[in-house]
Amino acid sequence: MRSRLQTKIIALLILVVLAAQLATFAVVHVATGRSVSRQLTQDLELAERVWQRFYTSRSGQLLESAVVLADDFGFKSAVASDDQATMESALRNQASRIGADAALLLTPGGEWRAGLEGADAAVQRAAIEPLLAQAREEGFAVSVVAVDGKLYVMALLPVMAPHQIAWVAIGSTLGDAYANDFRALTGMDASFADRHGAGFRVYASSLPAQARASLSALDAAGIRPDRSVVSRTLGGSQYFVLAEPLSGGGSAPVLLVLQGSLDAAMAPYSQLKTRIALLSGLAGLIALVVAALLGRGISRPVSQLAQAAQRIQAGDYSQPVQARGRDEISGLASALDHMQRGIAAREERIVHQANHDALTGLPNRAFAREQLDQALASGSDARGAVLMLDLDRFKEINDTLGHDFGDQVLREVGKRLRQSVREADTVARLGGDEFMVLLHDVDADTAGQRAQSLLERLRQPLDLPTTRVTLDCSIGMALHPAHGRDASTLLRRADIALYDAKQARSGVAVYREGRDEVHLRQLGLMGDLRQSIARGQLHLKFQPKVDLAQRQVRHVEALLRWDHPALGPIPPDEFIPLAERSGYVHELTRFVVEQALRQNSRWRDEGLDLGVAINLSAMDLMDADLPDFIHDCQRRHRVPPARIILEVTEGALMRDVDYAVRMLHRLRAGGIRLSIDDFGTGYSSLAQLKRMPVDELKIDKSFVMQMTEGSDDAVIVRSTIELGHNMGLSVIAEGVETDASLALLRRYRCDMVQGYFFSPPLAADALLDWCRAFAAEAEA
Amino acid sequence: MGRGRGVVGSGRGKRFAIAAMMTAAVWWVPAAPAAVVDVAANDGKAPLADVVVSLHAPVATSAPARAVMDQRDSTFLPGVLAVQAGTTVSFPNSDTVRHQVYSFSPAKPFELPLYEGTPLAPVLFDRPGVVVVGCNIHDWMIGYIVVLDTPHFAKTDASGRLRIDLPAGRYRLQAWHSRGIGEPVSRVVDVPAEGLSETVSLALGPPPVSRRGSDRLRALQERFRRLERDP
Repeated sequence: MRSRLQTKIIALLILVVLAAQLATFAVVHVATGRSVSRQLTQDLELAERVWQRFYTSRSGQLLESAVVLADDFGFKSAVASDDQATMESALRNQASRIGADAALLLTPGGEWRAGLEGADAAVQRAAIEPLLAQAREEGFAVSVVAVDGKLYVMALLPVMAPHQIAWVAIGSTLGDAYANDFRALTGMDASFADRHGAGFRVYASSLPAQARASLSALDAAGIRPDRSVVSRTLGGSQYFVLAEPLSGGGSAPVLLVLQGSLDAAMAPYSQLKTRIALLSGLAGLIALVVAALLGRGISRPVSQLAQAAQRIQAGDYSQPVQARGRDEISGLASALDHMQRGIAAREERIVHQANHDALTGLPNRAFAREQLDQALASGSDARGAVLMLDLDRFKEINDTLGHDFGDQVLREVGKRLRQSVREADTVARLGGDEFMVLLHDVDADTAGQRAQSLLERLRQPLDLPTTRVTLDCSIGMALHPAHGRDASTLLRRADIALYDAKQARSGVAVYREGRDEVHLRQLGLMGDLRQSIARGQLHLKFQPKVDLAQRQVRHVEALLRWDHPALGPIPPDEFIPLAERSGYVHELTRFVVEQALRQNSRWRDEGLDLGVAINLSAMDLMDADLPDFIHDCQRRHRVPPARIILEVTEGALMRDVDYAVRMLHRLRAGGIRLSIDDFGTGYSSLAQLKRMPVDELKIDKSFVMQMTEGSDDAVIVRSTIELGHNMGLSVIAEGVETDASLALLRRYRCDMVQGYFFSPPLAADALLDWCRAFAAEAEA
Repeated sequence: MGRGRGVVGSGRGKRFAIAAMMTAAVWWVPAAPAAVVDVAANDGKAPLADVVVSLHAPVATSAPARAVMDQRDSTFLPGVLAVQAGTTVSFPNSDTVRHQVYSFSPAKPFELPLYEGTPLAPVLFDRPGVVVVGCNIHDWMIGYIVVLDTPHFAKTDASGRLRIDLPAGRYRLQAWHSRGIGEPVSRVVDVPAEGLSETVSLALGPPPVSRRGSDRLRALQERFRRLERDP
C-alpha cells in the first residue's frame, strides 16, 4: 500500500504540474483564440481590400475589353450598317472573341438592338437600365447586374463613329469560378448574394455546398454590408463574415460576402494545442515518476521509522534503527536508535528491579510466582518441589542486632540458598525472612534430601564482621504434581507445610493430605469470627467453681461459646488460636469481659454474690490498653474487684516473663485477682513463679482427669497443691469428673474444684438455678 | 416655293430630307431682288458659334463646288463645314501622322484609306444631309459636313452671327448645330428686299468630352477606380 505521505507528495506535485499545464493551456487557448480571431479579422479585412483590387482589376479588364470592342472599326461598321442580322452576328463574334459571357447592343437612345442568345431581351434591358443611367452621366458604367438569376459584371460603353452610334455592354459571369479564383488568391471564401426575404439569395460562392446552404438561411438583417466582421456558423463550421455592397445603390444591392473559416484558421493552433496537451501529459507523467521517487525517498524512511517506533512501543528493541544518507531523516533514525537503546537499558533495569529483591538480588515474590507458572506451563507432568522457608527468631535478630545486621543476615541466607541449589533451580525472597526455592525435576525423596541439606547449610554458624550468629529455620514443602498442579495450590500448601513445620519445630515438613482442608476451614472461620460478635453468634457459659471447705459456689468461670450458623458450635480450642493468629482475640477478650461483668452485675442484683473468672490469652498480655478497659468495665458494672479473677495460662506467662509480670501488676492494681491457668504445662520455674503477682493456681485438667490413688498425676496434683499453699496461693483443680478424684482433692486439701462432676458450663439463667439448688442441697 | 424647302438634318432625318429634295425639285422660284438676312444664334443664354443656318427655296439646287476639310493637329479643320450638294470636299492631311478618314453617315458613307498629304480623289457630297466624319485611328477626331440643297447658308461666327445674301422671297429657315437636340429649328421666313434679321435659339446637348488616344481609356479607368473607392 502506498503511504499517505507519498500519495500526498505525488498529488501535490501532480497538482502543481497540472495547474501549470492547465494555466499554460488556458493561456495558449485564449491567446491563440484571440490571436486567431484578430488575425482572421485582419485577414478578412485584407481580403476585402484585395477584393477591391481583384474586382477592380477584373472589371478594368472587362472595361478594356469593352473599349476594344467599341473601338473596333469593323464592329462600328456593322453597327453603322443598321442591319439587324449584321449587328447581331458582329456582336456575337466580338463577344466570343473577347470571351465575354454576355453582350448587348442598344441604340444611343437606349432601345434594344441586339443581345446574346438566352435571356429575354426585356429582362436584360431592364437589368441594364441602372448601368445605362450611370453611363449617360459618366460616359461609361461598370457594375454588377443580376440577370435571370445569374450575376454579371457588366461594362457599358458608347460606340463612337465618331459620334455615338450605339451603346454596347459586355458582361462577365460573377459565378463560382470567380469566387474560387478569389479564394485561391486570398484563402478567404467569397459569396455573392442579395437579400431575399429574411435571408440571402446566393448567386455564387466558393463555400462548400452545406455552408452555402447555411448562408442562404442566415438572418440577412444580422449581416450589415458595412464591412464589419461578425461570427456565424455555416455548415457546422465557424466563420467570420464580412459583407459589403457590390454594385452601388439600389434597394437590394448585391452583396459581396467574405467568409473566413475560423476552423481553418485554428487548424495550425489546434495542432499546437495537441502538442501542448501531449507535452502536458508527458510532463504530468514525469511529475508522477519524480513525485513517486521523491515520495518514496521521503515516505519510505518515514514509514520505516514509524514501524521502528511501533516496534519500540511494542517492546521489541532487538532491531537497530537505521536510515541511509546524511539527511534529517537519518538523524532522526539515529536519535530513535539511541532512544531505543536507552529505553531498552532502562527497561531492563526496571524489569530487573520489578522482578528482583533489591536486598538480596533474588527474584521477588511476583517474579517467583511467574517463574513457577512458566515452569508448570512448560511441562505439567514434570516433577518438582516448592519449598517455603522461614527463618526462626529473625525478629529477635532484627530487634536486638539492628536492621543492618538483619539485612546482612538475609543477604547471607540468600547467598547460601543460591549456592545450595542447582543452577536451574529458583531461589526467591518472598518478603521479610521468607524465602522460596523451586526445585526442578526432583522426586519426593530427593526433594526431602535437598530440603534437609538446605536446612543444614543454613544452620551452620554465620560469621558476620561484627558477630557470629547461628540461624535456625523451618521449611515447608509441596510436591508437584502430588500436592497440586497449579502455582496457587502448591504455594498455599507449601505455606501450610511451613506452618506445620514451625508448629512442630521439626525443621522440614512436607504437606500432608487434608491439611489444606483444615487450613481452608480455619481461614473461613477466621473470616467468620470477625463477624461473630456483630451477628450475636457468641455467648458465654458459666461453670461453677466449688469451695470444697465450705461446700459453696464461690466463683464461676466464664467460657466463650461460638455457634457458627453453618458449622454449628465451634470449640474454643479451635477458634481461640485462630483469633490469636488473626489478632481478633483482643476484641473477643473485651467482649467476654463486658458480658461476664454485666452478667455478674445482674446476678448481684438477684442477690447472688459470685466471683467471675475470665480467661486472658497470651496475646492479651501484649494489649497495653486492656488493664484500663477492665478497670473501667468493673466500675461501670459495679462489680467488686475482688470478685473478678483473670486467668492467664502458664505458657502465656512464660513467653515474656518480664513483660508478663509488669502486665499482671497493672491488672491486679485495683484489687482484681489473678490466676495461673493450666498450671503444670508451662515449664515455669519456681523462681519465675515466685515473681508472679498471682492469687491462685489452677491445675491443668490433664492431671486431674486421669488422677487415681497413687498415680503420678496424683503425686503431681498433691505436690502442686502443697506448693501453692506454701506460696500462699489458693489452688483450684479443674476437670473433676468423678467422685474418686473429688475425694482425693478433698484429701489433698485443694481449695476449689471445677468440673462436670458438679456441673458442665451453664447458661446464665441455668447457672442461677443451679446455684440455688446447690445451696439448698448444701444446707440440707 | 410655298411649303417646298430643303431639309438640313443629321442622319436622323433621312427620309424627311429626301422628301424635301423631291419637293424642291418641282417648285419654281422667280427671280427676286437681292436682300440680306442677318441671323443671331444662341443657346438660350449665350451667342452660339458654328451654327449652320440655311434658307431653302422651294426648289432644291445643287452646284459643283470645292471645299476643304483639313486635318491639323489630329483635328478636323474646320470642325463644321457647310457645303451645297454637289460639292467635292478634299481632306488634306497636314499632320505628320497618317489619318484614315471615314463616315458612316447615310448621306455619304465613305472611307479614305490611310494616307498622308492630300488624297488623290476628293469626296463628292451630292446628297443633302449631315455627314459625321471621323478618323479610324484617332477616335477623338470628329468633323461635320453639312450638305445642303441650297446655296443660301452660312455659319455663325464666334459672336454667334452670320449674314446671308439672297434674293428676297419666301424661304424656309433651318438651323443646325452639332449638339442640337430636340426638334430641329425650321421655320418659314419672308425675306423682303430690305433684308431681315432673325434670331434662332437652339437647345443643346452636353458638350462631348474631349479625349485623345489612350487618354480616353485611362481617364475611364481612373474615373472608375475613383468611383469604386468612393461609392
